Amino acid sequence: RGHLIRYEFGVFLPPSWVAVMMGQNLFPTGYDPRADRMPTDDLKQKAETMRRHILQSVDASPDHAAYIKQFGAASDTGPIVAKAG
Amino acid sequence: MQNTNNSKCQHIVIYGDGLAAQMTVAALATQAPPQIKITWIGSGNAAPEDVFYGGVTTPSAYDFNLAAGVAEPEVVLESDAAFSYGTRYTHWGLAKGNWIQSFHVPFPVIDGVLFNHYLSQQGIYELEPFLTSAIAAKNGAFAHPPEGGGTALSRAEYGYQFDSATYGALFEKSAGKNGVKKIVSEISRIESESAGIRSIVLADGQTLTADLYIDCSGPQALLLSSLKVSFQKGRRIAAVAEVKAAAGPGAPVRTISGNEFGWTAETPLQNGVALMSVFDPESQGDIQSDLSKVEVTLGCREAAWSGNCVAIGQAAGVLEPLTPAPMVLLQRDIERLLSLLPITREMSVERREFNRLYADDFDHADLFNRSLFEGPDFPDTPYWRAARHLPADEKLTNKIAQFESRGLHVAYDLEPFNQEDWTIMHYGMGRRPARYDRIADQASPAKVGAYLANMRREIDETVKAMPSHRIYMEGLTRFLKQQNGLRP
Repeated sequence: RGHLIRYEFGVFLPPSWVAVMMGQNLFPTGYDPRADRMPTDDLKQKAETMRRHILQSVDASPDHAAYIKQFGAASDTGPIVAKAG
Repeated sequence: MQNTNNSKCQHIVIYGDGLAAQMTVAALATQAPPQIKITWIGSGNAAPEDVFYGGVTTPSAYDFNLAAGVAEPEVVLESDAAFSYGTRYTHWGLAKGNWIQSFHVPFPVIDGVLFNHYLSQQGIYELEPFLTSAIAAKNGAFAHPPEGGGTALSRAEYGYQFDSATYGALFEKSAGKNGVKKIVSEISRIESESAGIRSIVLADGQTLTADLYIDCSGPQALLLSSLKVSFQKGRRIAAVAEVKAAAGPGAPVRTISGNEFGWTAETPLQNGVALMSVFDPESQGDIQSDLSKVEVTLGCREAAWSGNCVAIGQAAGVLEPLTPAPMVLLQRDIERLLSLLPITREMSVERREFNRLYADDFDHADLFNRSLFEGPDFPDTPYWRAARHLPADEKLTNKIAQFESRGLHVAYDLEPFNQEDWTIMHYGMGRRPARYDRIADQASPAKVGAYLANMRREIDETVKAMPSHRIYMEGLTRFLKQQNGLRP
């Protein structure tokens, strides 16, 4: 039922558990019945908005290598020298 | 049992009349999915054992109530409930312990160290002057904490002091608004088998079948006991209780006084005061009272959920109302059930997890109660002897030992009482740490001294400026009535 057993002092938070389960193709066959209170259209709209925002943020982020180079911290650039003043 | 275990859980029957039933039905009616049919049966009899819920909640009640369709304005306008900063213990033990077990937000952390370690560092013996809720309670003052932290008043959390009759009625009303009304009928017989309850036959011969049965029938646990789930008996206590009228709410705190034969509680309500005496049934002759007595055995069922039947509240377990433990546990039971509402009639996963969490919650709540008896000297009478004559609990021993050693709070998984509750309890019971967190020595003593003195001063000034509980309640009631378009 997609239920996560929570321990108060768990080293990994629930989202990590969801990711590791689904990543290994362990999908719940059921879900928390309370979810049925939300109309499907609302749910679809919320999910689509979330997906769109994530996509927009990711598209707007620079390339990983370019970002590191920006700081002069990539291994194929020269050493970083502190500038006085 | 029919071989339809993959069929959906579509019908839930709740049995009970008292507070547990009212709160459970309201929460289900508001939060369960619409395709689940909810039927509520009650015998129509009063639930005298409701006094053992203690008439006091923790701050968690606000959110619980809201999710069950009961908003605070209704609590104020439609019940006799008053605000509560916690419980004041007096004459506790032969040393006559006297402190206010108040609710408090997480303690401030200064330079990476919890502020109570600085009290130890500075040799300051009393914690109470640093708790806004306790000082306000002492002065009989109350005001809602403002949104956003940073001020002394924002640290004063509160719960409610209530009488079961008018408080429970709020939940019954909420359930009604969501289409669930109690059917008044005695149960004639319960058809059960090893796998669970097959059906319930009512007094008029009508047969009810459900996918899930919820037992809110109080300590008798009518439904659960039909499945032969045994009760792990603890000691037995008796109570006499009454509500006396009063002109307006007294202090926003429940007062529990220890005495030779047990304890008494005085709980101010909006327009009255609830009085209760708890004692060992063997001391009956020593208690002068012509009020009728209610008795109950403390302890819990070996499993709260068996087959297709789950017990909520006292039907699952009974704790002594010395602290808000009974109400905390009742709220937790209901929330736990909601998070584990079965999807189909095959509910072994939900049952196992519910029972695991229940056992932990009951044990951990009980630890907090038992902590009140861990002291050197108490009267040598049946009540106190029974309360103290229990095998040592390793978790409790560990908690107390670590606190007394170095002010360390040992927390077990998802405990119902938190670090603040336990620290205030330890201080109230006269326990002090021998050592403090040495990281505290990094801060300058002068800076710490000034910080603490300022904290005290801010609390004193804040409390002086607060209205009395009575005046605050009058103002709030007037305001809420105006908001509702009612005559003040």
